[in-house]
Amino acid sequence: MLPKHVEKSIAKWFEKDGEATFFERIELQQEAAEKYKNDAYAPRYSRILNHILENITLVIKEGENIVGDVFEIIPNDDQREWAESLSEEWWEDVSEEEKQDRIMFYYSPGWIKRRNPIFFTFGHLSYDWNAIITKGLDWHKEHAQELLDSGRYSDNKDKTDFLSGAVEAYDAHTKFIRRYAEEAENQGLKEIAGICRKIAGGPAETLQEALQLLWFIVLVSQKVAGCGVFCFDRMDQYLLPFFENDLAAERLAEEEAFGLIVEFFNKNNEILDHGDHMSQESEVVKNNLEVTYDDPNYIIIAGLLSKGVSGVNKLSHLMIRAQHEMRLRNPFVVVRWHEGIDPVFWREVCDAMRHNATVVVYNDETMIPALLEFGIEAEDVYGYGYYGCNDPLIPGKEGGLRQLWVNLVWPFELALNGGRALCAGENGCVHDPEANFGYRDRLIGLMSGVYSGDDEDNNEPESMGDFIKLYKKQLRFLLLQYMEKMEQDYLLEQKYSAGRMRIEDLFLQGTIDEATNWIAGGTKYHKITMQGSGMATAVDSLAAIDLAVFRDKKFTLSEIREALKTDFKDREDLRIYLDSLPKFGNDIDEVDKYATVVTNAFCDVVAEMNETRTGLYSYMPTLSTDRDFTGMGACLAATSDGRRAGEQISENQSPYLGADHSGVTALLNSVAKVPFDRITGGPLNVMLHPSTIDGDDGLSKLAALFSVFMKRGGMQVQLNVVGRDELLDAQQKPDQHKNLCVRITGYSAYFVQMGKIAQEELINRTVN
Amino acid sequence: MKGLIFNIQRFSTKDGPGIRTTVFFKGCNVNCAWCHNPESIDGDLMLRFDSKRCINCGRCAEVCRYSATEMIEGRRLYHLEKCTLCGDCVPACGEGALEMVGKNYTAEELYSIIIKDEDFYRESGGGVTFSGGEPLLQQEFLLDMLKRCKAAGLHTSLDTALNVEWSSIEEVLPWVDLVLLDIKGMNSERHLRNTGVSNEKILENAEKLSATGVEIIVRMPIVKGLNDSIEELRAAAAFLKDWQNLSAVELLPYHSLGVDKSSEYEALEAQKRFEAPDSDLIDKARELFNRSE
Ligand code: SF4
Ligand code: SF4
Repeated sequence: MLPKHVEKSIAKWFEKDGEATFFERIELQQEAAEKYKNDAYAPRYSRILNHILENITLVIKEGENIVGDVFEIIPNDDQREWAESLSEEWWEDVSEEEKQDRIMFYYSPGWIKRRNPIFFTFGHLSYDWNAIITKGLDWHKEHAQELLDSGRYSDNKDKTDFLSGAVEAYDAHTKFIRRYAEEAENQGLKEIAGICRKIAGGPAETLQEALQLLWFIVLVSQKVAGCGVFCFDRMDQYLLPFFENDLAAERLAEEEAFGLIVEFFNKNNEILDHGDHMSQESEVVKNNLEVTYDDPNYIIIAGLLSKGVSGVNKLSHLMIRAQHEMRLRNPFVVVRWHEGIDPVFWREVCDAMRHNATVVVYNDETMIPALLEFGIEAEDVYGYGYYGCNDPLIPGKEGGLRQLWVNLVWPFELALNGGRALCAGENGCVHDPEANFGYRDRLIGLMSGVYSGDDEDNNEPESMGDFIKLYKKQLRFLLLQYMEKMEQDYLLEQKYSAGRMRIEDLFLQGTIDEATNWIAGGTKYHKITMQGSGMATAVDSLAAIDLAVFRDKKFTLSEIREALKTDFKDREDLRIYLDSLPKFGNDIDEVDKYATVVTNAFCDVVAEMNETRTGLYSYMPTLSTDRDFTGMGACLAATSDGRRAGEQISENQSPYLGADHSGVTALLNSVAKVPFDRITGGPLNVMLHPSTIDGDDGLSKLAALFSVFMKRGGMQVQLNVVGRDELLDAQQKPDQHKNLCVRITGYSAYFVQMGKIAQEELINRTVN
Repeated sequence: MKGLIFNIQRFSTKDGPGIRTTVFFKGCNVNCAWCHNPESIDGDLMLRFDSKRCINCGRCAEVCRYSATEMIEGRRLYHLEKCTLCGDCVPACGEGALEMVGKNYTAEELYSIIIKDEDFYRESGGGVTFSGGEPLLQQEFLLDMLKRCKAAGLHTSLDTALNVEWSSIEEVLPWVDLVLLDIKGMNSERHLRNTGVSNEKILENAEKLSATGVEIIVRMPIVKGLNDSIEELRAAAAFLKDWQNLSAVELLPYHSLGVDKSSEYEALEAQKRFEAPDSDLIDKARELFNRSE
């Protein structure tokens, strides 16, 4: 049972107006930016922060044990117009070079438009949360002050500015929390007032204090400074001592602890809006004036503490239960699976998943070797975590997201055609032969253009082995080109970044000690996530070449090449044939082996980049598309898997849309053949109908299904239990839902194979 | 020797314990009016045609060497009597409108698919289920499959209507862990009317089966007006009363799945639509079987 006030808050959140805006923030930020415009970057940053925190409205809601919220209004037309004009001033008509001076990496034009470049952060990281709650803000401030006073950096103005900026910023936090203490006192909330007073500067002692302090830090970072998409690191570990002390002192019952966790989770959800940041065209996204409105935070639980030692504890159970009962989109709970994980806990995890709680599972057994291969030291590797969109990190020891979405199908096209694009866009795909790794592509980290390949020494392949060599050669050519340019970019960025303290630098390891922001080298790790996209499309295309050309000799390579150039014009027979060849996702070894080929080619090149790099940043491979598989597909000519020009490529680790039709075990077996001990992240969506996994018995089957997948070397899994809407969608697009298995009284059937009337009956019986 | 199989369902969760692979044999000698797999009755290959997908492009007619498919006034026309089931038209169709239902597998081929999910069976206490159709009509092949699966230590289930000679059942039982026994009614006349065969042999075999000690789950399809009278259900409860090795009785209320399916085969007559029994009858029946346990 959820606490009453939380239930009320959830109900209210679903009614929330998409235009609600924390408008004070924008006004105060502008006021302060003007007021302090002659100050050095770091002090100016902190003064803007302080100005906002000193003046924003405090919000304490009825029944809350953890307080802290922002005050929102629905902006009127004048207000909206003014705010829009700011975006224009900041980002429109600004050259990419100039953007690079302001910030290095952004995400999408929609993402940066609400962000003032002088009060800017990218988020997507984990603070050293444990240090925050066990040491407190005063300690952090004193530490920076001591460094400043020690004179160690007295000959470097950037660094002394950085440190004095930090001191002011810690102070701004402390004063803000004290304001809440006063407000609570005024409202007669003695206990909350006491807690706020204590943690305004000091460390937390109880679970409630720890969660309260964490919440204030998040509120300031995320809502005020725009630093979102946090990883909370392993919350069940660092909160455990607080929880156990409370229990031992009989200050807190387990049920009360559950209530606090629920409140904390809910707070993370409450500050977000309904918009989906990947749908730039949606109204909410277009109109939203917030800096963070769809930035889920990730909480890591369970997993190994060290070899053979499980981290599953009482809090892991409470947290999965909270997630199960709440079923909100945010926060995400990432469960780290490992061999021998407590079976009772694992059942709880699967139970939450089958109720569509926001839970994803990662496999320690593959993640740890993969992270070790790609540069994480043994002493840090067991502490890994994730933040939004499945990017791995070592919490507290690295800064924000840097990534490149790598189109794994593009080198296939180059390999097939001597290093050149197959067509010039005449088939409905968007081919701009001039496109290359220009600033914009590098800044937003998206390889969805047409990039020229290596067009020298490409002999017509005589065997599949030759063809694979060409694929790898082109992939390598592309990525090395990217690296060369990126390293120049980052050198520039480091130069520009000197002295630029931002909010996250306050709470990472190393940045204060070095008096250097993470971008310029303050943290231990720096990486660019290389998001390999379209794996299954590349796999199916390579397998088709193998089967059709080299094994069965049914068609020649040049015949296929010519057909792809024209998008199968007058060669529908060939397209149908290619389409009918076996596909990844059906547990067929002769196809699935190319998952190993593609993944290893990708990982080998990334490993080579790490060996030869000269810059600060290392590279980590994942298999992930987020949602740009349509954009990437739009740039590609037809492929030998039977895909037409411009059509989407495959998503994440999944088979091509609708290509898997042999049951979920076959799907999982195929995916588990990917050498995941070299891949550091990326999701797999599994869809099941609730009827196949209902009851206690069904839960056992689900638990077995996923644990076998993990034992066989799967890396990640997230479950989508389909309801009414999905069934309606499946009715419209049967080809995309061939694998959707449902149960009708005692029988099982594939939904799309059922007749219309039978489908209707089932839809009518599907409640959610 | 090959077995004619019309479907292999992996992650089957309703045909016995745990995660299973269910193998559906083609061919049946009981012809239930309500069969939810009407394509399983015929013991030969069958061409499935999904008219919703057909765009009348004519490719199938182009490749057919027997003039069994023609284009008449721009529409696909199929002549059942000329079709040799050669299957050439199936890959020619780019819309997925044609499918050859039924495939001949060697025991080795079939086993290699089943064994791919061994880890899942072991983790979940599952295994393999042979269903149909009537698997016992391909008894030799079934026996081969059962022996292979048992040799690998897999849990085996057999879904059968028992309308075959006892000797042929007896021969496979040592390799069967669980029998899913379909009982379609106790009244012989009605049974004949509903399924085309009377039930004496079936019930006799059922008695013998219960005496062997093999674990049994009885499954009874219940169709309104055909076999849902309370007398019929009482008789069934009485019949099963003393079975020591009966672990469950599952009542399966009628579902119209077969009606839609039958319309996709030009070789099949359209199946009549029936009605599901009243839900309070199902509740009553459940009570009846619980009490007799
Ligand atoms: S090939 Fe397929 S779509 Fe074309 S007429 Fe035949 S069945 Fe219809
Ligand atoms: S199966 Fe063969 S004979 Fe029958 S319609 Fe198709 S191509 Fe013609």
